Amino acid sequence: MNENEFAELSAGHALDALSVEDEQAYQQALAAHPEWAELVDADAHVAGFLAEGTGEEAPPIDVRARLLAQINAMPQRMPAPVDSAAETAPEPELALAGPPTEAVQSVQRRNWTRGLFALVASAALLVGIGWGVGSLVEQARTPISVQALEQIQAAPDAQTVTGQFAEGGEAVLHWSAELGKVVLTTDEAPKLADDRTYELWFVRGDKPIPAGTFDDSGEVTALLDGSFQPGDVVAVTVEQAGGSPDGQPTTTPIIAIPTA
Amino acid sequence: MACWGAMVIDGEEVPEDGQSADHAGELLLRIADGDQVAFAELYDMLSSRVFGLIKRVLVDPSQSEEVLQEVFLEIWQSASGFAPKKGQGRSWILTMAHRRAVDRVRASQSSADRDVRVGVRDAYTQQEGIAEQVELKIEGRRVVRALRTLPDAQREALTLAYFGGYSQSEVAALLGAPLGTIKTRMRDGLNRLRQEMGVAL
Repeated sequence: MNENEFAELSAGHALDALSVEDEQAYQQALAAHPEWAELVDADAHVAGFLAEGTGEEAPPIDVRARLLAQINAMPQRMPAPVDSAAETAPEPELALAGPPTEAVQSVQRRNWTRGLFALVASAALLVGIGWGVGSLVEQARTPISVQALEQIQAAPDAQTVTGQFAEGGEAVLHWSAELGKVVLTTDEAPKLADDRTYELWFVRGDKPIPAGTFDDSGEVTALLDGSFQPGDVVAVTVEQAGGSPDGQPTTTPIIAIPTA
Repeated sequence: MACWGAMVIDGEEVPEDGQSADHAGELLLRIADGDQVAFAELYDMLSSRVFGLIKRVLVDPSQSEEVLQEVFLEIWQSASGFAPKKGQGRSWILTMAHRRAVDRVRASQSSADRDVRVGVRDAYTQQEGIAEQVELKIEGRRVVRALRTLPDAQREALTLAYFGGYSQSEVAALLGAPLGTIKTRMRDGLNRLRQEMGVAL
C-alpha cells in the first residue's frame, strides 16, 4: 500500500466510515508505517472540527447522578507503562464489530475486552524466538501436551512470551504458527478455590473462543484446544469448575498474551 | 504541528498564550488519577455537546442516552489513554463519542429507521437531496462556512458520512457513485478542509 492509498483509508477512518475490512487494512498499514501517523492526527483534527458542527443538547437530568454512582464502583484502566507495548496492542474499540443490543450488556462486554487489552498493553512481556532442540525420545510415554510443547520448541518459527500472574507465579506461552499449536506452561500459578478452575481463551478480534481449562497445581503444561490463528490473544480467566458453562468468560482475564 | 490560531469553540475562547487552553485535557488527567470531582466537572462542561453530537448521528433519544452513558463510562475507565501531546481533550472525547454513535448506528438501525433518520424517504419526493437535508441540520457557523468552500460532491460525501453516520459503501449506494470515487471525495474533502482550517501536516 502506498501513501496515497493509505490517505484514503485515513480519511475514512477519521469519519468513522470505513467498512470492517478497510478498518483492518487501515490498522495493519498504520502498524507497518508508523510514519503515517501524522496524517492520521491531521485527519482526526479535521473530524474533531466537524464535531463542533452539531448543536448542544442537555441530556436527561438523571443521567448525571447515575453515572456518578456507577463510576464510584468502577475500576479504571491502568496507564500503559511501555509505549511500544501499547502501540502494538490492538485498539479495543475497533474490534467491536457487532455491539450487542442491550446497552448494559455492551458495557459489560467492553469491560471484558478492555481489561484484556489493558493487560496486553501493561504486561512486561519477554518475547523470544525459540530455537530449542526437540527431544523425540520417549515420546510414547510423554503426555500429548508435553509432546506438543516439544514439537513447538523444535519448530523453526517457535515463539515464547512470558506473562506474570498479578499474585505471583508465571505463565509462558509457546506457539508455532506453522504447527498451529499453542501450549501454556505455568509455574506456581495462584491457588484457586476448590470449585474454580483456570480457563484458556483464544481472543480473535473481540470474540473469546474457549480453549480448555487447567488447574492450579505447581507446574502445568496445557495444550490449547481448537484452532489457533496468528494474531489471536491468548487469555486466562478464572471460571467455575469445568469451565464457563455458556462458552463465554464470566470474569476479567488475569493473563493476556498477544501472539502477533 | 497543528495550528488552530486563536479560535473560538462554542464561546470558550482558547487563549493565545496557550496556557491552560485544554481544560478538558486537564480534567482528563485528573480523572485518570481517579478524581471523581473532575469527572463531574467534565460531565457538566461537555455532556450537552457530547449528547448533541450523539443525537445528531443517532436521532433516537433513548439510544442516544445509552450511548452518552457508555461514552462517559469509557472516559472514566480509559482516561489514562489520553495523551496530552497528541491533541486536545475535548477533541479526544468528541472523537470517542462519534465513534460510539456510529457503532450503534451500524449495529442497530434497520434500513427503515435510517431512511427516516436523514430524510432519505423524503428525498424521493422532494427537490432536496439527502445530503442537503443533512446539511440543513448542521449548526456552528464556522463549520458551515468551511463546508461551503468544498465542491458539492465532496461536501455531500463528508456530510453523509460524518453527520449521517453512513459508511463509505452506504454513501456510494445512496449517491449512486462508485465506492472508489466516494473514498477519493472524502479524502480530497478532508484535505481541503484541513487547508481551510490552517492545520499543517
